[in-house]
Amino acid sequence: MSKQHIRHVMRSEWRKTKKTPAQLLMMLIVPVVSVLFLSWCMCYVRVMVDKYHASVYLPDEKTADEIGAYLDEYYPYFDFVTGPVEEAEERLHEGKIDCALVVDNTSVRILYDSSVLTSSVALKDANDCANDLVYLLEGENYLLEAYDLYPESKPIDLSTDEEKLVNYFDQMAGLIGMILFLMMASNAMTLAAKTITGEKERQTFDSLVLCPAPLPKILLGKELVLMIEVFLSGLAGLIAAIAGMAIWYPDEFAMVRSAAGREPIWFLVILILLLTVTLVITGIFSIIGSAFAQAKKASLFSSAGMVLVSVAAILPNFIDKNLVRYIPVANWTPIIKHMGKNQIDLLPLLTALFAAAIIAGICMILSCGLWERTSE
Amino acid sequence: MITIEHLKKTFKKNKVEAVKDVTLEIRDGEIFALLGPNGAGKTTTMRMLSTLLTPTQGTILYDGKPLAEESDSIRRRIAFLTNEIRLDGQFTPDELADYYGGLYEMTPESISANRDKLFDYFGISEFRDRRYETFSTGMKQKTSLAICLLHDPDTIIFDEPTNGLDILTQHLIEAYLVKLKEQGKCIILSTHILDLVARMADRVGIIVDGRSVFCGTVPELPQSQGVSTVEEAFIKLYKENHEEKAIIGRHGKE
Repeated sequence: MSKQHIRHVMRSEWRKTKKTPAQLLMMLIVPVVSVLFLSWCMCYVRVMVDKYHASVYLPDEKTADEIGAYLDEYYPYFDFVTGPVEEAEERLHEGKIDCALVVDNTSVRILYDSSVLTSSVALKDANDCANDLVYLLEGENYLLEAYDLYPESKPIDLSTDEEKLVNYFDQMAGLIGMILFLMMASNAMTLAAKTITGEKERQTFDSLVLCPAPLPKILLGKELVLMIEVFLSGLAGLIAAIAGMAIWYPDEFAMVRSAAGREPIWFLVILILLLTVTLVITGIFSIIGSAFAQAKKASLFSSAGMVLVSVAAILPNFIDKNLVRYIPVANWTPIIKHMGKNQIDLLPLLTALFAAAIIAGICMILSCGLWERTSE
Repeated sequence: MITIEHLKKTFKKNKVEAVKDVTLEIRDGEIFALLGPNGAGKTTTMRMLSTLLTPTQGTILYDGKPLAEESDSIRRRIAFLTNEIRLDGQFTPDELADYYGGLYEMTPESISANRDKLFDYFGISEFRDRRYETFSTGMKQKTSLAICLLHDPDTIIFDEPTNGLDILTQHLIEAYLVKLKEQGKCIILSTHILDLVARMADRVGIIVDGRSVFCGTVPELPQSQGVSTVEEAFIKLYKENHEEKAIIGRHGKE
């Protein structure tokens, strides 16, 4: 198949894109702003959650009952229990509590696991509670068996760097993946309606049919440019996600930076993810774009197509979580989480990329037929 | 030479039989006018001739070669222009020439030579860097004409070529069509302007209700109908063929 026509159409389509800088700018700016806004929101949502569950571990039941009866009113989200520190750590790791105050003969320690912590309010209250505990336990003749206590000035984070990173990815990858998917799909929808459906709406389609250049080659040239544009918009969003991380999650960013330095394969994983999404999205919107003669109708069906793809991508999550790794279209969480744990498995990724390439190929063949057929 | 035999076109979508039976013969080096009232099937016939539509029945032969089988090579030899076809508004005339020239597999040198010649003739040269969408109707039509003639076609098919254009642009286009005819090219015009037919056409074909009812030289048209002008002949032919259908309809009812 001669590539001359395809290259020629691609050059012309790219020239057209450059002639509408506002559209090009919007295509890149919208994902950037959306992802940055999401990162900012996530940062504050995490900080501002005011409902939590915390436990105070006291040395004996009698003290637990007495302290509990006194402080329960002031700290409604705390329970006052007895038990070994290991139990507190286990509950923290399992995410059953946000933080724990462990009182022993010499100290009141605030423990938490930043990889499961959902509220920073819990830590603030825990600090207040620790001061009250010291006062109550050591205060004037409050108890005969007085302790020699002091509160630890800094809460102790039980999570490891790897757990923190996995938690960050757990929280952000799904959301950022979904936002990027929606932004890329929305750009693909607009661009396909303009470049493919638009040819018929602007009545420029006939002049293409009249050319001896085969219509499939003209369409392929248009679809390849569409693919590049969609990929660029996704890349812009991804850069914004990294920038958001650097601004609002500096600790996690430092970890990612050093881990990515050690594991350059991370870049390849991200590239494969973006490419997979780009292929699927371009394929689907090429079909919708070529099936209609009016951009309005194409947009209407594109919205339905977007919902369908989202559902198709998320549905396996409820069937088999392992399966989701093979469908990284709108849900990147499983793969990114594995990446955080340095357990990169390229097989599901490459399988997904291969499947996406086949889907895109089938879509392109179908779209050629539809584009020609609607010309009558 | 183009031979059209028993051409028929039925649109599947709305089951409209736009062309029922059209048989015509168009020769090289002539201006052939396709006449007919609105809705007679002229545009559908022209679109079939230009490969934009596939006939339901019948054959179109370009120099003896069937269009259905040789559409790719025939497309290189024909140009089709109608008011319905637009060019991409974002492009300048220069960019349009580059785009369509490339799709016709022309070399950059031949694109440049043909473009300069056509742009100069139609007065586009000084606007070659302006976007097509900013042009007036006449300028758009002239640019479309220049672009569709860029690949130096043998056969030029024009559907209502001067419709909605000012008198100066009409004259410019008509003069160029005569020039093309003198170069031995075949020009097919679809029109309902009888004056244009009388002035320019060598031969004429008339379509009424999707059927060809006459094909011959312009002088033969009034002679065959026993009248003195092209207009009278056309009206007579139209009435005869249109009424015939109405009578059949009445008989059918009875």
